[in-house]
Amino acid sequence: MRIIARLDVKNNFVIKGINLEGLRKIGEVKNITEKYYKEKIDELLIMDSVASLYGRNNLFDFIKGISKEIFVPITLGGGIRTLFDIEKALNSGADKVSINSQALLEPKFLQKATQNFGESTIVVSIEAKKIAPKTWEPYKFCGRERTNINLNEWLNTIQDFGCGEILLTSIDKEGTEAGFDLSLLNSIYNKITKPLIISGGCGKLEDIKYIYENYKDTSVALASVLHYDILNIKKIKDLIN
Amino acid sequence: MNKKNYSLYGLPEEIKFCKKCVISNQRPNNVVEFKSKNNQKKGIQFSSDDSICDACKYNEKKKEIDWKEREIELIDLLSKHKKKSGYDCVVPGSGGKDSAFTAHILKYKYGMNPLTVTWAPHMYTDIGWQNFTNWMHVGGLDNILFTPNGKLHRTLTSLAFKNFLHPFQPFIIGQKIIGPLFASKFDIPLIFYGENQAEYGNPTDDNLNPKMDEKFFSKNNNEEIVLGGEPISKIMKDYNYKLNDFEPYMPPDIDELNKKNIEQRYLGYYLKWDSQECFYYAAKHTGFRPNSERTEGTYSKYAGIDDKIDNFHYYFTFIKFGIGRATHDASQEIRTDKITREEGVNLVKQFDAEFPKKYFNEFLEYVDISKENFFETVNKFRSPHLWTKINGEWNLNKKVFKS
Amino acid sequence: MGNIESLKNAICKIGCDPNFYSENNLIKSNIIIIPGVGAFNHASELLSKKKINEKIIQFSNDKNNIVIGICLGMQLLFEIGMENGQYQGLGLIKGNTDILSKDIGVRLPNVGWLKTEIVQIKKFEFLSKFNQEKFYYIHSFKTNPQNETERIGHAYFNNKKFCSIASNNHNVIGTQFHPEKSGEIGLEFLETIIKHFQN
Repeated sequence: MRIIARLDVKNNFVIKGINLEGLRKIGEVKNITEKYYKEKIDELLIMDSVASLYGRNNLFDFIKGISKEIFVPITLGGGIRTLFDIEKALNSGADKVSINSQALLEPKFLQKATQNFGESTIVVSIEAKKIAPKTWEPYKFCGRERTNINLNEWLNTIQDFGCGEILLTSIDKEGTEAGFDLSLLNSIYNKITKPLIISGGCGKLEDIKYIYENYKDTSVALASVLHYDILNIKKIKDLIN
Repeated sequence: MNKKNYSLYGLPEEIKFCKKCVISNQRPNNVVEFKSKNNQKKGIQFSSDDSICDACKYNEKKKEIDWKEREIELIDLLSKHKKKSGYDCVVPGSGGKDSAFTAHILKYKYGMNPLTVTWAPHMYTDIGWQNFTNWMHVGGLDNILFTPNGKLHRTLTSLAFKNFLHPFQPFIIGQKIIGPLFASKFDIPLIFYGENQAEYGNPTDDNLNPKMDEKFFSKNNNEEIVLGGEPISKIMKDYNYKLNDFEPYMPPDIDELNKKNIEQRYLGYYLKWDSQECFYYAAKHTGFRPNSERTEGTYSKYAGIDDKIDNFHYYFTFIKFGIGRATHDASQEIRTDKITREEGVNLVKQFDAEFPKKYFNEFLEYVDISKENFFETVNKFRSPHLWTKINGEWNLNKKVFKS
Repeated sequence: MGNIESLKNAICKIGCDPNFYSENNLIKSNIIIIPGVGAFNHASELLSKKKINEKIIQFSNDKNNIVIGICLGMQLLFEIGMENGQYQGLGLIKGNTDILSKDIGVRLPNVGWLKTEIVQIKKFEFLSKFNQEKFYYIHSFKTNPQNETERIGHAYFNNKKFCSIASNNHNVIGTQFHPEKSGEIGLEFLETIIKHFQN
């Protein structure tokens, strides 16, 4: 299990919302990134949180700078729309890119992306919202708009077209610190053939322990618990070692 | 071309945008909903040299306020009203983020015992109802939900729509009355609202004085009261109503209110207001959840989500004043440092003109009008100083963004 | 192919001065690092098309030079790669590469931090301090060195051992993991190898 720190970034600040709403500032992204690296985080997931809203990703310069000091894998997401964006991201120092909205717009883009850059470079990010009992839907544009696609079908599509990893965020649980969305995880777990990262809802050590004991090969992306100093990276890593 | 129309609202002919936020000088102030038959309003004040709106100017002033001092004032005020048994204040609201915050913090931080009172939305959305009940069951508060006679409310809403393109006028009147009404009935002399109206660009002299303007509550003859643009006497005749059907819209007598020493305060005067932080607070304490999708006409998911026809209110301000919900929200978030002006402009460009199609049929049915008549009515209110039809499409003459 | 910025940053961080090489340059140092993210077949074709493969082989013939392969770069050191068909590697280490696991229910690529065992043999004693340390892996293929003595390190995936460090016992060494992505311990590993071979 990888312990991944998720940083949603806006204007050089890490922000944290609830149910993907709200822009509360936590601190400067550079400071927070360095802090987590020092505390031996396994990986960093850096998302330009409003790239889709404003039509641009502007973290390339930041990544360029930070990758001179930080030597763990960095995944960059938010507004990755073209092959050129992926190239720019990798050239800045990102190891992987996370793609969401563009894949929803054009699933074939995943095929082009994996062919050009290698499957292991491409992470597909899904923000899932429960719309009916045992039924979820991937949402687009920062969890703001419906797609009318069934999540199970979407998982098949992205795994067919190509992806190296799947990042699955529960809109219902994210930012609530009320625990991971186990019913969501349960419902899709057997349909996933790629490494899975779940995100959204972690509130205490027991939440991570449960995933480790029951879904061992699944990694967790943590935000609120790290940004609000609720959990300590060392304690988490000690727990799973 | 008939250039007279803009004077319907008394708006300035030259359109200007605030240099700090994205609001224009076409925003009308909140004036007495009852009195005027023509619904005359004036534009927001910009000083001719600054091009900075009143709300942004007030926002600057806010930075100099000593909030510790204000909180002491609050605690002082509350200590005069705090009761060991019974309710000691009334908090009117819907259980949205602002009223959820107001009621909860007054009770659980400041030790008051508020009675929350709600004027029902026209049509509850599922998320609205859930947030409203959570307000009580998760937040731990008492509430009286007042639902006005739907038949009359619809009639009034329909009239207000047709006469002013302002369907929410009766609702706003009801909302304004309900606090003092219940305060008077229950002998609770203190009413607390959340945000100060000046946040939205109203006359700044309200801000220095925490009591609300009493202009709203003076009236003379009941039958003279104008609702939806028509005097009650006419509505009674045309639609076969009795005078006491209009009870929910009768403002309590100002003398009565004064006798009971009922005063209205804004919590926003005493605590530094940040509407988005109210969301975080409400999510944590009162079970408030944002909507699953973004609200039409703007980018957020957590404001104005409890009434199916809420989006039409903002769509119509867009038609009448060129100011939609995105402009309104972005301006507020610029002032609270959540977004930059550039981002605000971008958001206005993307969302301000969006038509609220999700509940369009519900709206048509509610005000009892056909689609054709709807658009005919809407277009009547496009002032030529704001709108021009080009190739069959309506265009705003001046926009905050570059097309 | 892939992200070489990180590797460059890592080399700089440990105090060396890296240069990128393409088919037109001359190799000016005694150390080459072959990084790589992507597919074996694609890389193999590129190397032969640009005749870089010949230059590397020639370079490695001088025992004072060192060739270090990372991830795909390590796989390329071998003779044959089995990704998307059968392709030629550099043949500097005897053996082939093939898919990491064919077990049902296994998710590839293998991505994460794995404890890496270093075989305790004299020639690579300088690496023994990294025994049992965790390094970062991301790969779907593994290498199979023909000679047991050329397997220097291994890790486990789905409870099965796979080779994670291989060497021809002279001047060619490859790691399946990414030392430039393995935090401070990874940097130390890189520094140790480079400084060892620089002497």
